[in-house]
Amino acid sequence: MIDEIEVLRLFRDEMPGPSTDAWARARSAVAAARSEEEPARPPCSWPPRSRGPGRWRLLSVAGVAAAVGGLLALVLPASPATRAPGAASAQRARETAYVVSRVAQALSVRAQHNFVGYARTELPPGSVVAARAGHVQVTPGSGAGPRPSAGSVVSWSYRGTGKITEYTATGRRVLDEKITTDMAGARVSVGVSYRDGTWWRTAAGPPPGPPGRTGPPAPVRCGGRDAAIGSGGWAALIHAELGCGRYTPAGRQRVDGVDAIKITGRDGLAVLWVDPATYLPVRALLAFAQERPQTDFRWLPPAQASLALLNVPVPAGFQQVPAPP
Amino acid sequence: MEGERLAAGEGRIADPEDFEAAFREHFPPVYRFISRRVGPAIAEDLAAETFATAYRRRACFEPGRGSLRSWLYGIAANLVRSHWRAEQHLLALDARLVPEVDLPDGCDEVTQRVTAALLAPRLAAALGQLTRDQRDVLLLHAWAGLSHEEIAAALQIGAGTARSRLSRARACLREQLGDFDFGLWVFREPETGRVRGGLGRD
Repeated sequence: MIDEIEVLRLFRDEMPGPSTDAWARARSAVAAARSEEEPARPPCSWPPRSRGPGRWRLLSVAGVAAAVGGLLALVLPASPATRAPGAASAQRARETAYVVSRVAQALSVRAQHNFVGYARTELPPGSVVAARAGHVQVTPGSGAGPRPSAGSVVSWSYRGTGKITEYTATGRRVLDEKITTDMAGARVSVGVSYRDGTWWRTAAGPPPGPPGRTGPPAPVRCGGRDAAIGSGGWAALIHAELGCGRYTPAGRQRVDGVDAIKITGRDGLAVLWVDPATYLPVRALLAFAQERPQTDFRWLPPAQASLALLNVPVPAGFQQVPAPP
Repeated sequence: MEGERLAAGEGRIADPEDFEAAFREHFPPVYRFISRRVGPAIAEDLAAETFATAYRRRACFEPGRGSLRSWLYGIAANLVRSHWRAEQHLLALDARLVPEVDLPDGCDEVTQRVTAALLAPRLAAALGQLTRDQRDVLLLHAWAGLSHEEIAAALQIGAGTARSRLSRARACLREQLGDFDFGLWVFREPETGRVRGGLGRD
């Protein structure tokens, strides 16, 4: 016989499972925890009491003090006489966790509702840009393949819509691709090739499976030799990359007029500079090629003028063709 | 059962690779548990913090004291507790719901779901009246599927305490649903016992 527990099991049963962003957020949190591993762990309780729920959004006064202290320590060299090696290592781990988590938070899907992201990447000779299903693949300095070499790539993104434009080294626009992904994962792409006067449109439904029963997304490929820019633009790309947990703050540097926090990595992003006021990226050097291609970022308010830049009009006379594979 | 759990990787999370496997297996249900309690806006933070805490304290997990699942739900429940006001607010909103439901044909499962939607305001009101301790125990049982022993391990309480709290919480829930006939899956008028509304399965 059905009882009150069975009825309760149906209550809010429609609540969906974790989104891609929730997975990425959790991976970032675990990666941050991994990077803050300390030699001496606190004593166990079973199960452990957490450090408090608002760690990602509302840091405690002590946490802020520790983080500020850590950032100061990055700028001001520590005195070896006053700092024990273990304490310095723990402090460094804490500041890594703090900075990386703040950047991840600033670039989360929810935060992407607050700005229009702009990024411009100058590519070394031999780079290839190719429209793929649901993203544009940028392979810096590969020098391979039949496609002409790309000079730079500009991307715009806002709330699940991304636009990627490829330019030649002489500044001629050759490709526009607009990709929109809704909350359920359904995707629409419109591409225009100015090289041959063609355009295409693709639509793909959300991934199969009822809400709340979806499996984990494919693991983020950490590092790699190319960048797949999708509807989330560079914000999504960097957010995912930070989840790999290979990034460490490395002091301050003045970049583009900002006294930016420098974060170094081994793969994916060789260096990332973020604005200490917003934790949004200012500049990145990609680790994809020997030349370390540079990407500069701007984060604009979602005004009508900036949103209009996400549009990809199809010029009159262009011929519709099947989408690239 | 225990052998199955261990074979599936339960009980070994000290190694980062084992932790990754545990993360992939347990993150979706733990996320949903939190999301059902405090809503998706807060769940993202709390679920991330649950697994970050678990990673930091993975050396403290002892398979002999309870399953990995119960350990993770214990961390999640502790985190949810500090969002009491958000949980109460969500329950208050659900308690004010007046669901509009088109009655579908046939299919018991659909009928049950529709009836559950009709019951949602009462369930929310009942949950809102429970103490934190009772609610933790009840929802760990109903939504996370934990046994008395697992709940006791998760919340660091005795098995007897878990059992009695669950019993009291269930009684409170039944009281709120007093005129609902679980056998016939209908509401009855308290005085006459006559079926009123609901979705009879005759």
